[in-house]
Amino acid sequence: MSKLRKHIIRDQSVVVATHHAELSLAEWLPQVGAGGTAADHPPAHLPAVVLAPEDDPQVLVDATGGNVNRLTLIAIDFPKFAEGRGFSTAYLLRQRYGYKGELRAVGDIGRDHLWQLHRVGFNAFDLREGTDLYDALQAYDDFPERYQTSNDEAQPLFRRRGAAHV
Amino acid sequence: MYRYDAYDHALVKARVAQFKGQTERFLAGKLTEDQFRPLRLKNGLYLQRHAPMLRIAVPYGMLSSAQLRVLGEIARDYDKDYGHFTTRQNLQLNWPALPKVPEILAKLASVEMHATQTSGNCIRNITTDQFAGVAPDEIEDPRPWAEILRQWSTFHPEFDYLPRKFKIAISGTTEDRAAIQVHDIGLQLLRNEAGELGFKVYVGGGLGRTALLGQVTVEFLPWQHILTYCEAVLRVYNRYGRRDNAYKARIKILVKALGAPAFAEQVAQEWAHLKDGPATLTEAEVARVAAHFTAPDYATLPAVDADFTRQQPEEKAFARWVERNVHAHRVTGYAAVTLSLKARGVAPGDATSAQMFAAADLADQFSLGELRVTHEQNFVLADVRQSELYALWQLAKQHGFATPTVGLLTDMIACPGGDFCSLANARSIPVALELQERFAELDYLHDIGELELNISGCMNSCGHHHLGAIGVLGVDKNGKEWYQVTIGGRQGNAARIGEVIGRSFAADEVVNAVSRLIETYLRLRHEDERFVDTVLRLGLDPFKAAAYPANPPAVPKETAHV
Ligand code: SF4
Repeated sequence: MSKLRKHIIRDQSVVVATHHAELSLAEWLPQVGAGGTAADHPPAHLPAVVLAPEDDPQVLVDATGGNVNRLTLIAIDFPKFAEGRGFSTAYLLRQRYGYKGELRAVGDIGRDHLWQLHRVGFNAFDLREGTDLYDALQAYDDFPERYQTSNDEAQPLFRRRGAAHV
Repeated sequence: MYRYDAYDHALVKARVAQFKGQTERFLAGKLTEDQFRPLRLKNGLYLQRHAPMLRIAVPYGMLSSAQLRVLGEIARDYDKDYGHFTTRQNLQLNWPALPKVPEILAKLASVEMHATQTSGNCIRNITTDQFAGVAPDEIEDPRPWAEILRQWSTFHPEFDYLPRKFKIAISGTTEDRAAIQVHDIGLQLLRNEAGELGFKVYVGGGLGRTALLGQVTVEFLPWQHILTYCEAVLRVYNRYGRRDNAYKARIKILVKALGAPAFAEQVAQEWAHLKDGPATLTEAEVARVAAHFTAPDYATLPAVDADFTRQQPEEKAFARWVERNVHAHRVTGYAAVTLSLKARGVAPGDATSAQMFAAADLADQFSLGELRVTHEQNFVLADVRQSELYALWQLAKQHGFATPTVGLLTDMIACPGGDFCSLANARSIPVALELQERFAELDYLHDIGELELNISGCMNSCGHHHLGAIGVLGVDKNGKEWYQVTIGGRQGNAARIGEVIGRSFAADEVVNAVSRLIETYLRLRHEDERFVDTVLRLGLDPFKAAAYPANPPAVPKETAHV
């Protein structure tokens, strides 16, 4: 995992990151109880976890007794720019498992990934060393429209076309 | 053809601005070469042997004359006055200067064109049949579906960093001309017994190091579900495709590893979550897109034009061109015409700026202002009146488009190979040119008959050598160029991967070897039997025996990356 930064982008602003996800899935699982049911753990928030590209988000669902929202921070690591599995992991966490908390992208990602990461469900970005975060904020406006559905857009363009005029 | 609305324009414009920013940040040192590489690749920009190579998308091969003129202007103003049309119906420019690329993209955007996703590990240009809309055996026009899929795949946020590239092809005819079985997803339009439209879906076809034909995952997928089903395939692939080895990263390896039934089941499970959701296609959207591809107002013409009937016996060269380069059209009195880019002495698929302008003029004059780029690296004018074929032929001759060899040996497919491509093991173009010289004699060529000869400069197989009745593949032995020959491949419904005949040939031997294969075929063929059918009837042995001279030269050991 890459070195963590003090400042991150969250919900379209540059903020100081007050806490980080430091437990890998293997480290995190014992902390929620090996059986992984909600009863094994007090109802308080669970510690944050950082998922590797190969980690199946279904494991979080099982470990939290079906309530992933007992987590408030999930990070997904992108160890290299070409590693695209995290995009699907994020989509699934949001769209299929109903995760509402902070979803943070960490690793070898920069301004040019932000638009897509944002689209699939990330709301926080720990961008790689040396990225100008204020410049990166502009990436939220890279495109004025989206053809297809994802986490940020429930309706494909073809269902909205004609409903409004550009 | 499809025309952009305000949304499409806005999106392509935004992409131009985004890439301009990326290029500027790279040139200012704010992005490293490693960081910039995946960004430029997604816009079709490679760094090649001599200069950057820019691959411009020609969505499903369709071009208006205005678009082709702009391509010609770009080749003239930013390149060396020519471009290379590829088997994937795209245009490659070999010498644009990197700082100028944003300007080129802006120019393309002005005529509703782009270089989006022409490279990189993302969903590439959707391809289809060059005779879409006019083919007599058409079940349904594939172009609206190609456009719908183009929009769905364009800037898809989740599938931009796949394990490897991803290619989708669609066929709308009973005889597949889009090579759908060697694509990551191949879609065959068809109607079920109730007359409803849908797709037969093949997944996991592909050439390259492990050549495999696609496996059917759904026999009949109703049209409404095409986008959600593709999304399910892509999500399964994005999550589970191999990323540890680029040679094993295509979806075909995943399908093969799981077995087609288990893979199909996994996709079905994912699809269950998406089916009937908002991404389900609507009749209104299909109608909106299909309205761009409605048949033009064809004139009522006689089935046989009297002048045309007279001209052919009078002029043998014209008759020969008609025989090879003119194709049946579903409307009486019309024909589709191939403008060949396989003139002797010219690299297959290359067109000069002047030729692009000329082809645009011919499209305006003879074919309603549109033309298509073909998988076989030619142009097609799809709507020519029979009565105007003679006039068209005369003009096509002047511009080097009338080589009467469509479907014959010298209408070969060839990738740019080692002259341009930095991945090549060997050059393709010199072999192509030598073959053209060897088989230049038209009577001989016509006697050999239909034969697909495909050349790739390396195992990436851009020249689809596996599908050639004769395939030539560049291999590297101790830094020297050698060529492996396969025979018995074919495209179409009964697609087949060719088989290697034996050890590779040195550069100065490969054309002789092809000659010996041809002579063997001519000796052994039954009447009206094509080369590939003779191979299938007799097997490889007689061809093997003929291909290798009695005293073979010493062969160096192959290097690891053959
Ligand atoms: S087949 Fe190889 S040499 Fe030819 S264009 Fe493709 S990558 Fe380059």
